[in-house]
Amino acid sequence: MADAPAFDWVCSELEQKTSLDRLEARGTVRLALKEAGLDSRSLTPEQMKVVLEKVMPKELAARGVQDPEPLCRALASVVGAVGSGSGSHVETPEEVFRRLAGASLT
Amino acid sequence: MDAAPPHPLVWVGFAAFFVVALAVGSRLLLLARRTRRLPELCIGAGVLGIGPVGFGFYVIAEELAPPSPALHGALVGVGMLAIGLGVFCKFVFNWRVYHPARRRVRALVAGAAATLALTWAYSAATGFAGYNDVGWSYLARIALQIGALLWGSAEALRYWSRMRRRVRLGMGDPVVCNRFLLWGIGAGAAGVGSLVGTLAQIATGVPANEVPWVLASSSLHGLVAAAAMWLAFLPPAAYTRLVERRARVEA
Repeated sequence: MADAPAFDWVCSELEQKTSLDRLEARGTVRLALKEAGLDSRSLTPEQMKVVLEKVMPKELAARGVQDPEPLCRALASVVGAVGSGSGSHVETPEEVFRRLAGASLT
Repeated sequence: MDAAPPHPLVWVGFAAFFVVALAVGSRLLLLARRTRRLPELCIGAGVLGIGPVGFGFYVIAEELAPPSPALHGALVGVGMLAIGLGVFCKFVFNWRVYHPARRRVRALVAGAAATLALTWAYSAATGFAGYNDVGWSYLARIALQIGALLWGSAEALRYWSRMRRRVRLGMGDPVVCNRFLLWGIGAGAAGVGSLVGTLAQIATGVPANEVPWVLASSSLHGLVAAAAMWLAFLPPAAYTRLVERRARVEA
């Protein structure tokens, strides 16, 4: 299963706008996603936005990127426009378990 | 060997597990009828099959001691079929919910199904006599049952661990997150209870239901599983509010 478009897009932007190379950028984003309990394959643009706002600045600063907050804010403001990927949606465990308690008898 | 009769309180855990599994399993099957989705069908059938239906037929077969060996065998056969289908449903649930794209997991589920069918056919060929005697058929059957439960528990707890981080960042519903924890605890308690009983039977050579301390252990694990399932799938409003309030504090 391929990585989500939001993941690829953010990695590409970091590679262009910071001193991180491709491997470092992808590794940094993966670590941020792990910290947030997210998976690069099922990531949505909305989730990536939260990660950019709340987790990425710290991860980028730890890798020597100067003043990462403005960059993360800029990326967060436009990541929503990145598509969610292919049309075939695979149901996540979270969606299943949300439904399971909706077992009202009506 | 302790030959004292079991304390009456021992039956509390079994009764709680029976009632809660019946309520939760039935409710999930009703949900499946409405949504036409596989996960709720599998988890509902799994809870009912391993719990009240399979367990119920075994109890009827053993405790009511039907005079006819053929009737006893038929009751055990139905109970074993229900448990086998329940175990298979748990395997399918774990595969479809957590690893739908993994071929190895699909192969594992197919292997489990074939083994369960083989053990049932083997037991049927002997009229289900000595179905709880320790032999390859019993061990294969019980290993798959314990495996399905502990696998489901591990997957749920792993997902809970990840989702908890998302909830702290404001992503995700804390009640759904807590449901993973409860399902992990419930399935884990049922799996560990079965494991203890099986190991005790192998070690002592006496059926687990004839050893008081094993009965007490199974009852306690049943009670934990019942409480966890109840809070996961039929949560009182006060419990839901408590989970939401704690999540807000943590966030």
